[in-house]
Amino acid sequence: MPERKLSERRDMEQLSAYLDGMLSAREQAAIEERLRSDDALRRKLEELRLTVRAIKSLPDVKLPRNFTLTPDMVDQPSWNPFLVMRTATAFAVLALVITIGIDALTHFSARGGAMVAMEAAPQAVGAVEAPAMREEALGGAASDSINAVPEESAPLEESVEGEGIFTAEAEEPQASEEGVQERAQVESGDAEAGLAESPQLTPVPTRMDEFEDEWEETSTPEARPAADSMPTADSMPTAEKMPAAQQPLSLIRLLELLFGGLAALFASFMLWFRRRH
Amino acid sequence: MDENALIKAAGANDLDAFNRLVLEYQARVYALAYRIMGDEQSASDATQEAFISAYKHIRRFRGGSFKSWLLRIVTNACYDELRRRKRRPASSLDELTEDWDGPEVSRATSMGEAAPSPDEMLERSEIQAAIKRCLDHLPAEYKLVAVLVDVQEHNYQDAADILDTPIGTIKSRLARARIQMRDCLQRYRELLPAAFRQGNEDE
Repeated sequence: MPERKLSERRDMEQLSAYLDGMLSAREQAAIEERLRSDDALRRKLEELRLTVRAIKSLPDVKLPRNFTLTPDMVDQPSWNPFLVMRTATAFAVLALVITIGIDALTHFSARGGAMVAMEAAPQAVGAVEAPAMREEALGGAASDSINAVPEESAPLEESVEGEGIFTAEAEEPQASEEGVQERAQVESGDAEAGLAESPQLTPVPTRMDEFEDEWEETSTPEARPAADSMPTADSMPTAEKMPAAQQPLSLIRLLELLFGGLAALFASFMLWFRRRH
Repeated sequence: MDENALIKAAGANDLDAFNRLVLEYQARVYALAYRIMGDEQSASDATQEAFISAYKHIRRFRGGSFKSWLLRIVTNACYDELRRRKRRPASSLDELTEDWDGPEVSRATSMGEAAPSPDEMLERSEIQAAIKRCLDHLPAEYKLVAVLVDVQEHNYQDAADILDTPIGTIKSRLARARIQMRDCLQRYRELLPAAFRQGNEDE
């Protein structure tokens, strides 16, 4: 009996697979051969076929509701730190790019404007440079005169002594600059030649305000036209105006640093959250 | 966004992306759960549990058929529940056999139930209710295969993938499931086609 049951079970497995076309070609040929001569086996096959058809006839199941998940179902906070950091990083990078763009545009437009102004008013540039050049020239002349006069007083004295001419002036070694200068005017032929290059600058300017006061009065005729053009150079980025022009750029640089730092910070948090999960 | 992108996003804890996958597959997942569990409440619980489990373990998905992966999860959830119930006093196929007293399928007195459940009321005919009863009382391992292959019409290989079982085992269990279904349905012979009754009566 167990052998018969085993054989019957094997037959049913073969018939079940045969219904689904899951037998090998050899097995299929063998079972079909048996089916042609075995009525009981044919009947069992038909029972299985009807059973399978009955099972397949079950209606489709209607969905009672949606099964979408909510954050509390998965113990997840309503905001996802990783997504928040990812969004924040994206915004920080975007802000950084925009700021750099504005910076670049501002930088190029400022340089372009300066270049246009320089091309349009080369005289003004000359005017700006002129005082410095004059300052150097005058300073040089003045120092020359100072060096030439008071500090040469000793050799002068020697020469005086040697030549025996200016005994009266040689008795005043602590004389004031004016006195020295007056004396220089009188005494030395070389000093006169040096001072003759700027004859009206004999009062040596030791301070800028003194120099500026003197400048208005004693400008050489060659320097005057350049000086006259100074008021027209208001539009130039002069030394006094440059800091004001650079202020927005400095603010943009600060913003660039800020956004760059925030982007790096957010990105670090984002990577940390991702790794933690 | 395609399925792979949604799976990847869900792996990064994007619940919205995962819910789009839920909407795509929930009908099939629930249908499988319903046919295995046999009632709406149990099927809903198993389906919800399966989707929660899938979301939590989606990083373990290593490619292939996402549908098969989901169906495996819900199948395991159902199987665990069925095994848990088996440890408790419950009706069985033997009980059904002993209590069988005729074709009064709709009364369902043999199932230990006072009246047909709402699920059964939804079945379109008595024969469908009979088929469902027989299916519900199959041993779990047979029922899983029968539902996958005969109800949901997966092929043997898909069923083997979903159940993580060799294809030979699928073939064997399916044959036994069909035999038990045949034997069960014989008890409802008045509801069945004449050819089926004839074959049974001849034995």
